[in-house]
Amino acid sequence: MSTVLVSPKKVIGQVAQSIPQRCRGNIVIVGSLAVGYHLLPDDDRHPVRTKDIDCVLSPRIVAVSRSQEIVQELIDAGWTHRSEGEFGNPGTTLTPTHLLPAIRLYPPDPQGWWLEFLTEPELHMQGGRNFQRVTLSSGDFGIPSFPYTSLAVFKPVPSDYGVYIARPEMMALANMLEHQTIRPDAIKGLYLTNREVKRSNKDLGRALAIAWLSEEESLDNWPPIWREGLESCFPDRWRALAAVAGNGIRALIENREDMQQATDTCTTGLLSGRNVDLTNLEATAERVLIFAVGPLEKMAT
Amino acid sequence: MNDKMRTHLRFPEIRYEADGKWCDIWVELKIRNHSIRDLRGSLLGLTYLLSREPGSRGLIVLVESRISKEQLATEFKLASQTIDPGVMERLTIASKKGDEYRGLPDDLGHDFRNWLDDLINKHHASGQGATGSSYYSILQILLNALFTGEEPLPISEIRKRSGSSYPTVSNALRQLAPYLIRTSDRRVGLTQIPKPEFAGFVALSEELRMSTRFIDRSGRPRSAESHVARLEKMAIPSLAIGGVLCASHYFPKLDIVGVPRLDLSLHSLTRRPDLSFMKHLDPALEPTADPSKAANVVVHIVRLAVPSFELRDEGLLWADRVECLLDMYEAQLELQADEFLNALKSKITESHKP
Repeated sequence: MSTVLVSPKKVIGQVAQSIPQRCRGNIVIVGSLAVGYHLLPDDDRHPVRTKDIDCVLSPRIVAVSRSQEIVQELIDAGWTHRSEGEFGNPGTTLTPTHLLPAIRLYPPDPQGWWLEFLTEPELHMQGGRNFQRVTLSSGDFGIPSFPYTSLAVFKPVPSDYGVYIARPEMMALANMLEHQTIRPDAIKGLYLTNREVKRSNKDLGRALAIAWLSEEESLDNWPPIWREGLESCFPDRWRALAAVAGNGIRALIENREDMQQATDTCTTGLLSGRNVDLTNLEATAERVLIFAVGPLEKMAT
Repeated sequence: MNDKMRTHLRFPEIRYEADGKWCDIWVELKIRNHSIRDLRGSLLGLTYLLSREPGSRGLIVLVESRISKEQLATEFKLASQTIDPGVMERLTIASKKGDEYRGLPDDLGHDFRNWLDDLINKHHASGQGATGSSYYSILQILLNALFTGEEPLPISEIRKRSGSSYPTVSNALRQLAPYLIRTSDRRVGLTQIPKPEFAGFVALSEELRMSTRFIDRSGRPRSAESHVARLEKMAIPSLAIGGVLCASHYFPKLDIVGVPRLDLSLHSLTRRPDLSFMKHLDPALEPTADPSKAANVVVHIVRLAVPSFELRDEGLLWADRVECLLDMYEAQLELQADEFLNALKSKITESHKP
């Protein structure tokens, strides 16, 4: 699975311009591009390595209708469905929802990345990934949602292009809650120093990269918005979630091999060219625990 | 009754006091003492004691001393040629650097080491460890009084502020006599800055103040201002801001751009000052003994019984002027330290004008 270097602002601008104006307010960009948009200098020397541009359709209730409108317009403008890989073909009305392919579109002049649509989960959703069926002229597709996607897109920041950009600290929290332990599952096709990369290490590493890149005092401001987001998205269990938010980071610090892999994913990704090593990220992890997780845990008790 | 008192009472004629006793071993500590003459004095005192107590042994422990192995061997050889072999064979000189002991008698185990560690720490805490630390405490009190335009102080006030005994204060004042004014009601004050004494204070300040240097390990060091903002929220009692920030408070015209490091003064009279707040200030900070690494934060221990900290509007405290000066000299900000010192001097001159 190859990745390409892109300029966050340039690509977000390009994507936004291709989306019908009336739909832009329902799009929240998440992932490395969103992190780069907020935290990397706006110049060509700090591109972001990515393979997909993740767009969350928000609110969930409009996900199906908006995706139909957007995809139709993009197809008309020359965008094409990604047909490679396991789920390369559209589904039919008979395809079970959980086996439907996601909507992945290449721009008319392919640059190595594709656009992918997600949405927020239903309130109180407890399980893992969930799909919503969308019927397009080309067939049936699924829009996935993950348990903490709504947290990642909590109070997104409006961009100059009409679309919204997720807050780095909320994406960090979503990753931390998604990985309360270091799970063994590896990312298909992603190897670093000849070893498969654990999804947990990559995602927790992303949370640390966000902390490392953030302004020096911003970590102190994370707990209040974390609390607000948790209370809003998980009114019944926000305290329980706050209590476990730091578990993944703690587990990462305790295992040198996992910490090293998390570091490697950062140094080949968001922190490339910044001479960051394991010690730097370990110290950053401790900062996250003391400056952000600790106060959040206190708020929840 | 402690061991010292026992030694003294048992053999008053030798006028020698060991620092402690473990079973049959008399122990003398030489902490950060680099003088061969002092070592000779201790050797002699201890041999007097051993010659009066045939079953006992003697141990001199040089802690963080710069006396070399070769110098030590020479001194031991000279002593062996002079002192009764029956006494000499019961005498050992050991050293301690960092946590490592060298030359301790083989038969002494962990319990002894723990006891010895404790003894050394007690000496640190009581200010006996660093050469003349009580003297410098008294100098600091007098200098601060001079810098703030205080009237000469009663000796009882100097004792109260320094936590020193009457003889200690008396001795210190004797040394400072050329720079002192004494009033008819037994008050004492400095008339000027005693340059050589102050230079000695600057030279020894890191040791005297048990300065602990912290460096950043994140690769994204936080600024001094950001640390201060966090410390204000943490509200640690007895913690004062020193260094450049403090000097700029007392002397706003100080010619410096930015704050190269944060100096903190912690008032603590305990054996092991509690620096655990540093982990909460910024867990990315770690202590270092490597002088080549530029420190981000330095914590100095103030052992005066009553420190001259001043209230700070935003919370916490301001360190005193002498602490600020020492911080800046220690940080090698000589130009700025001299500038601040000159400003303090000119205030003295003004206050001395009729």
